[in-house]
Formats: sequence, C-alpha cells, structure tokens
Amino acid sequence: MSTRKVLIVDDSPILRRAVRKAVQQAGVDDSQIREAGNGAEALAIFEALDVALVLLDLHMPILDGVGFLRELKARNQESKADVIIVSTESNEERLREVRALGARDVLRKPFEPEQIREYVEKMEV
Amino acid sequence: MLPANFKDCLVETVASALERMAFMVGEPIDEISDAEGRASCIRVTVDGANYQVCVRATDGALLELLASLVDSESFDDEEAQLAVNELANVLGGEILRVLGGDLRPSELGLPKSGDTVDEDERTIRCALDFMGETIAVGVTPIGACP
Repeated sequence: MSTRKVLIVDDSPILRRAVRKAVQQAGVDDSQIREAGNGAEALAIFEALDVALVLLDLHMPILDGVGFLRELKARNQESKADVIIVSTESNEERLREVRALGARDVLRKPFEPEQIREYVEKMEV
Repeated sequence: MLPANFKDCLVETVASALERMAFMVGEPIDEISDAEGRASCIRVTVDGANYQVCVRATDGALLELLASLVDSESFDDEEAQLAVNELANVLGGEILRVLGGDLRPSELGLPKSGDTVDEDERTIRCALDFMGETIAVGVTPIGACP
C-alpha cells in the first residue's frame, strides 16, 4: 500500500471534514490523510511527510494559500506533489497567479465529491 | 448599486450553490423572520464597490447541511456557527462571481459570526425553505459606490 499522503488545507474544520470524506470515498485510507488549518501548518506537514496531493484553500488566516505556494516555490518543492486549489476564488487574474506558482488545477467551492475523486485517481503514488 | 435583476440572480445563485454543495433543494419564499437562525456575514469587494453578504440559517437547515457534508446527526453551538460561516464563505464567493468579480479586481473577506451591518432599503434579500427550515441571504451595498 502506498504511504504517500493527501494533505487537506482549509481553515474551516467542516470543509476539511467534507473534503476528507470525499478523499476516503475515493479510496484513500484514512491513515494517509492529514489536515492543516492554514498554510504555515501545511508547510510543516509537507516538509515532514511524503505528500502526493495537496487540496489547498486560498483564503486562510496566518499564511494563505498563495503564501503556501510561494514558500514551496522558494524551497524548490513545488513539483514534489500535485497541488489542487479548492476555493471560492473565481478571479481569473488571481487564479493565473496560483497556476504560475505551481498549482495544477482549481476546484471551485461548492464542489461535488466526485470532483475530488478525479484528482485522487490521478495522484502519483 | 446592485444590478436591476439582481434579486432573480441571487435566488438562482443561492439555490444552485446549495444543491451542488449539499444536495439541498429548497423553495423560494418571500417572508423571512429576522429573529430566526444563526447569522454570518462576509464582505465582498468588486471593482472598488463593497457589499456585505449576510447569511442566516435555522438550526434544522444547518443540520441538513452538516448531514450531507460530513454525515453529522447532531451539532453543538460551535459546529453550527462554523457551518453558517462556511455557508457565508461559499455563497459570498458565488455572489462575488455574479457581480463580475471573476473578471474585475475583487476580494472576498473572511466570514464573521453575527450581523455586522444593518440591512437597509438597499438590501436585496432572498430566502429558501427546506420543509419548514430556512436559509436567507441579504446583500447590502456598503460605503461609496465606484
């Protein structure tokens, strides 16, 4: 079984639980899922573990999603995992920015669980 | 100022978002009791114009939302407030897009519990009924128009 992790980053505990449920339904064992409430917590987990997929909110306190992506790029770690933005963000200029920073795709909230499954299935394990 | 047809857009936007988010299908209603439910507000800025989006939901509607999202069968006060905050976040994002924020400079704030602005005659409201439970949304222009 793969030991690569899925990291869910969102300041809303309810959204984290909802995304976690969708990731589990996509076939990922719960022991392989980690959660962070902001970009700073996510960076610590990302550096400590072998993360294959990051499901990243943009609007968060302390360190937001853009800040997280900038930190990954500064540390040359942006290609270590697939980063999917899961956010209410719709501004095209800002979405171009996050793609330029290494985000692979954008999933707008509200999302359907099936959409999470598609990203999990593409995850490199 | 909000667009002339904004009320119709608001109803469609809220209904569609709730259906996608939690498979909740509601009926639009006219009468809203402001005293009912928990509230959360979020600021939306599009092209320099600011709006306050306030969401109010009854506990029964929040329970239906949480049951769909995370299989909850009950909740405490903290979880209920988190749920209405998330509703404000998602619906605020959808309303920002309806107001053109996808193509123009825009910003979505973070949701805050409770009413942070008095709704007034400029407020556009809509409400959906879910078998006796209600989710209501009010959008109020604040500050100077661009």
